[in-house]
Amino acid sequence: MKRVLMFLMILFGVIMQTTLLSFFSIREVTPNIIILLLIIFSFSTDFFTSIALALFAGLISDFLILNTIGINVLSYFVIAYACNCLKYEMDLDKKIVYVATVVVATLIYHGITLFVMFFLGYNVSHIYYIAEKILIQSAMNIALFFIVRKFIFFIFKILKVKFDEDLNEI
Amino acid sequence: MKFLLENYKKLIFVLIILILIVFIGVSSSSYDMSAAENGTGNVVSKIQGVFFNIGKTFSNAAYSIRNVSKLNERNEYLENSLYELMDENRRLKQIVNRSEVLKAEYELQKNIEYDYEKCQIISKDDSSWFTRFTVNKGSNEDLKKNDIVIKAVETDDGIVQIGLLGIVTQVGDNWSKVITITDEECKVTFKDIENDQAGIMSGSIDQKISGYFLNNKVVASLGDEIFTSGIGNIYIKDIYIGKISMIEDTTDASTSRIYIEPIVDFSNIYDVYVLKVER
Repeated sequence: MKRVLMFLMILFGVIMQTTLLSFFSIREVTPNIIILLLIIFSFSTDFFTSIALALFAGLISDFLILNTIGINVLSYFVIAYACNCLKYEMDLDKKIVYVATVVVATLIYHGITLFVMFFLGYNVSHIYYIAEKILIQSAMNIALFFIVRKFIFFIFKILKVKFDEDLNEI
Repeated sequence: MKFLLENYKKLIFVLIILILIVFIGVSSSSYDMSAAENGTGNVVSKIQGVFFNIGKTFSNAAYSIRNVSKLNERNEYLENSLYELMDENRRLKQIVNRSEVLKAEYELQKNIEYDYEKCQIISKDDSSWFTRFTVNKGSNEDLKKNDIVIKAVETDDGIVQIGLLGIVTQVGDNWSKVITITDEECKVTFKDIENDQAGIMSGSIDQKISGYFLNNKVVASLGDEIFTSGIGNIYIKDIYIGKISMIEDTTDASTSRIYIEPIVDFSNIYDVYVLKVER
């Protein structure tokens, strides 16, 4: 039930990302809610589930918008893998760890996209334009992270589904 | 075996990365929508349409609240313009009714117009790297790949014109993917109506449209109006793109790069028209 709920939340997140969230942009930048969901779920589930969630999120995102399949899949997969493998090395009681994770994950997402676009032959010399947007998105992601986390805890609590061993309410 | 058990996470990581790299390579050169994409889009596009409309409603409400006074002024201006136009329309009707030649021309123009489909945008790319969106019509409504996407825009002179927005890249049963002219993958041949010279333009990741003339001796001016040229048989000719906003000499000084301000406001598009072009 926990896994089913996670997959449904990822699907809901992808739909929100491409529809409603595009209306709440600051300087044409929208927060990336899928990165936030993957971080939260990767910290609280097993390796194979977090990888499956990342692949699912990436595939749905690529199917719906992009012509090239695999760009978002690759980015989300690396983020989920890193979060799941490193969760035992990090002190998840501290807020600063989550803030740093969100920033690094956002940078990983755009870094991998830049890398792939370079090899697909895109002109990436205007990276300065995207750099400003990455900073704004990182700030938006940090601001949203704790709200999204509380919301997820609330949903799991309402549905009486066990989310984690210790529900660390921040 | 022990090595596999101890390092299975790393092995899975490497394997998936390699598979995804192959996937990216194959899908970047394939132009048709796969069955998985079509199936996913057919299911999800309906839900996206609902949420996009909700967002549009809230966005329009917020815009109205912020711009009440401007809207009143605009309303007054439009009312005055309407009376003038009605008066002119009456005068022109009299002329047309008296002229059989004009009547015939009107009938001819009606017959050569392209068939079109009015579509609604149901989702937009959020990544900042691409400018793409999807619309709520597909092959069920006879949309095809390379159909032209346009929007009606009002120019500075108050004339309503067709503005080029983009092109359909992949078509599902009831949804389609569109790439806009500000995306780097979108290349359009244009002509400058002031000097009747042709060129090629494309978007970029900073969403600026730039290009160059095929004849490197061309002298263009700021404000020149740019239309599609029809060369290459992808974009039909004479669709308004925008005006030249900047001219920059390239490093070797042999050509000039022009930047084009598109007539369409890409931050504010909800409904579009897709021209069904027979090729």
